[in-house]
Parts: sequence; structure tokens; C-alpha cells
Amino acid sequence: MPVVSLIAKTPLAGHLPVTVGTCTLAEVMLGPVTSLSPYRGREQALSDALMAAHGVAFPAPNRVAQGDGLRLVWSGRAQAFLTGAAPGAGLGDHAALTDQSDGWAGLHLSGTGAEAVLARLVPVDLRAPAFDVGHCARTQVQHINALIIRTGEQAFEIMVMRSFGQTAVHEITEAMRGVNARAAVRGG
Amino acid sequence: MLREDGHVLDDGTTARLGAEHFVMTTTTAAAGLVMRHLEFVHQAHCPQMAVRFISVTEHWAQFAVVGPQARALMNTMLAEPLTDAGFPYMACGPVDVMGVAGRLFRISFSGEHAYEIAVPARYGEALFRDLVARAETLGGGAYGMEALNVLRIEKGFITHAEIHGRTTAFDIGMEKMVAPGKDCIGKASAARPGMHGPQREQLVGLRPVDAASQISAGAHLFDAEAPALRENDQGYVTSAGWSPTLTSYLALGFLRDGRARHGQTIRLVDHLRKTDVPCTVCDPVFFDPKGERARG
Repeated sequence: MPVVSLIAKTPLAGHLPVTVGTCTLAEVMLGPVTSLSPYRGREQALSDALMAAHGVAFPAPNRVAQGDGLRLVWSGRAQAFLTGAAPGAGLGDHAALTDQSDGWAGLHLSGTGAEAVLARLVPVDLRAPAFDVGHCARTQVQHINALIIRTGEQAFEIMVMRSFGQTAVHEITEAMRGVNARAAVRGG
Repeated sequence: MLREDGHVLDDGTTARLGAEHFVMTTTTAAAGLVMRHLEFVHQAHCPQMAVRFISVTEHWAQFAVVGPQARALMNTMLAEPLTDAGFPYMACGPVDVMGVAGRLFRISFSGEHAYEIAVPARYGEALFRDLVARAETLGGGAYGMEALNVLRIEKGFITHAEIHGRTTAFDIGMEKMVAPGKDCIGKASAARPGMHGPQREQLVGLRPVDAASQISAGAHLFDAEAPALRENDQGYVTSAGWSPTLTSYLALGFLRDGRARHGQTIRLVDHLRKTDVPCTVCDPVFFDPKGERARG
């Protein structure tokens, strides 16, 4: 095993966490991220192979399949991201796989008002129950291509392309300031 | 890559990393367009094909290492040293660079003996700083987009300045790259009357007769004795710059029946900037026409 002599940096090193009022934006370490795109007619075979290798089936559109220390996140037409674990054996027989581990920046937004913050930036309705825990959406955060997962009542995980990470931090932080300022004016 | 109407959609590279695994590069401006085109072709024309596409642009940090000492520099960082025979021009494959699993491609838009080294993006900053430090130790250093633009003009390499949506493979002199033995999207349309022949504006190189006369992109081309009026328009300039290597301004442009007019003197007139410069029409590859630097 060769010794790695290059220093690694996370997508948002030094830029997070940020807290404004009741909301906190923090970096999320996504771990390994692998795209899985089943070939036509092989969807069930892939799902069976995923169940055998990782204990989760291929998710339905806009859903997250939670496993033990790993997730399958629906990410688009005929596509899902396996996060948190390296892909198991046999998956490549039924699907195209690519390593996406360094392609994404992970952000976690939590606290009272998190839904209101994202409402300013995201065109999709993120209110429960339309967007519940375990739901995900491939959408935009202020024109940045994003994959949003609801992880709690007032908690969201936002994945954006790595090179847009700092812009996403800026946009979300501005929205946090706006929501916090309104709350302060209302005296709440 | 051609559009269905036979015009050039984009100019890029495709590397075969495995029997059923390809990595495609595109121009920056057309990346989304090419992705959309691939998806449309698959979904609309050949959905029975077992193939999938996804962008991997963000996952990799990739750098060009170019010049006569490129191999020597790379060999200070790779687990397995490169040789010309072992890694010839246009080779590609996995490499261990400083303990990181990366990819190496021997190809470059600079036209030099050059490589592109890719590592997962988390190591990008570290690799770039290390490459620059080693290059400076060898007497070189980082180069930017303006320098690259000069290098590629010297080599006659085109960008979307030339493939602006109204040019064909014939126009840019690449009709031989359309393989004769098989069909492809755009091939039939490109064979239609009017899509090839001497009336087409063809890619040429232009050198001012007085090497120090500045020439500009956007200028139009006229016969030496003709008034610079719309009716006499013979073509236009798409890219221009000063070449320190050839100590001359150089330009690429399109000229009616251009490939048959090498050696002629024409007028390059920029009506906006008020310049009128006699130029010699020549081959668009001004420097290293046999490509010996890249293959060395």
C-alpha cells in the first residue's frame, strides 16, 4: 500500500460551521460516493445485488434507502448515489458505476427556521409532509445543481457540486441572515 | 462531434479506459450541450443500447504538464517511470502519483510534449502546488489561459471561436477525421450539395506582411485590390495573437476557397478598429507542422 504524500483537503475546509440565530450550517463528510445507473431491464437485478451486498434495495424516485452506515439516495433518472460505503461485489454486472466521492460538497442545515431558509433558495416545496424525513429531491439551490435530503424535522443535508461549495455556503448564509433578521424584527 | 445538420457541435477527446469504459472531454462552453446531446441520442435514437452517462468533471483535479522536460518532471512523482515507448503520444491509463491513484493522459492542447495528470479533487491543491514548485526548480512554472491561447494559435488548434456553429468538418480541414467505413450523426447532412467545395469559407492561417502589424479577431478579409465592402467579403478572422516564438502576429480565420490560396496576399480590414493590414494566407499550423514536439 503506497504512502500518500499529498495533503487532502475537504471541499469546504475553513468555511464552516456558520451559526446565525437558531440555524447552523455545517460541513458533512459524505464518505465514499458511487453513482449507480442500472442498464435498461436490469433494475431488479441491481436491486437484488444491492440487497445482498448492502442490505438495501434501489430507492424509488425522490427517496433515500437507509442502511447500516450507508445510504442509497435517488439522484435522477435511472440513477442513485451509494454513500458511506464502497460498492460491493457484483453491482457492476447490472449497472454503470462511477466514483463521485470527490465531486460533491456536503452541507448540513439544521435548527428552527431551516425550512424557511431553504424556501428562499429552492424551487421545490420542502415542507412536511410533501418533503418528509427520508425524502430527497434533485433540484437547485439558488441556481446551483443540488441534491437535498431531509434528515430531521428541522434538518436538511444538501449536496452540491464540489466547485460550487463556497457559493452555496454564501447563498445559504445570506438566507439564514434574512430569516434571522425577520424573526428579530417580529420580536420572535 | 457533429450535429444532425452536419455542422460541428464540439471538439474534444475520448479516452478508452476499459473495454466498456470511456472518458470523454469536451470544450468548457459545450460541456452541458454535449451531455444533453448524448442523453438525447441514447433516449431518442438507440434506447436499446446498454450505456449510461454521468459527469465526472468535479471528481477529478487535472493539470497539464507541458514542455521538453515534462516527462522528466512527471518521473519525479510517479511510482512507475514513463518512457516514450511505454507511454507514447495519445496513451492513457491509471498511475500512482505520490501514493494517490490517478490517471495520466499523454495529450495536450498546447501541442507540446505534454501530459495531463488527474487526481481525485481532494488532492488537487496539493498536487498543483507541488507541480509548480518542481517546474520552477527546473526553470519553468505555471502558465495561464492567455499563454495557452498563443500556443494553440501557433499550432492551428481550434476553439469555439472557429467552431462557432456554422462550420463543418470540411471547413475546418478535418473532413478526414470523419471515418469513411461507418456512419455517424451528421455525416449524411455534411455530404449535401453546398456543404463542401471551393465556395466554402475554409480555415486558414494569416500572417501580416509586416510581422509587427497588429491584427484582430472579427476583422474581415478582402482581395488585395477590392474595396472593403460587404459585397466583396471573402471571409473573417476568428482568433489572433502575438507569437513570441515566431516574432509575428498570427491569426486563424475562414477564407473562401482558403486551402487553394496559400501564399496569396489579402487585405484584413477591421472596420470597427479602423485597421487595414495586408496578410499572407498560409496553413493554419504555423509551428511544428509535423507534430514532432508532441511525439518526442
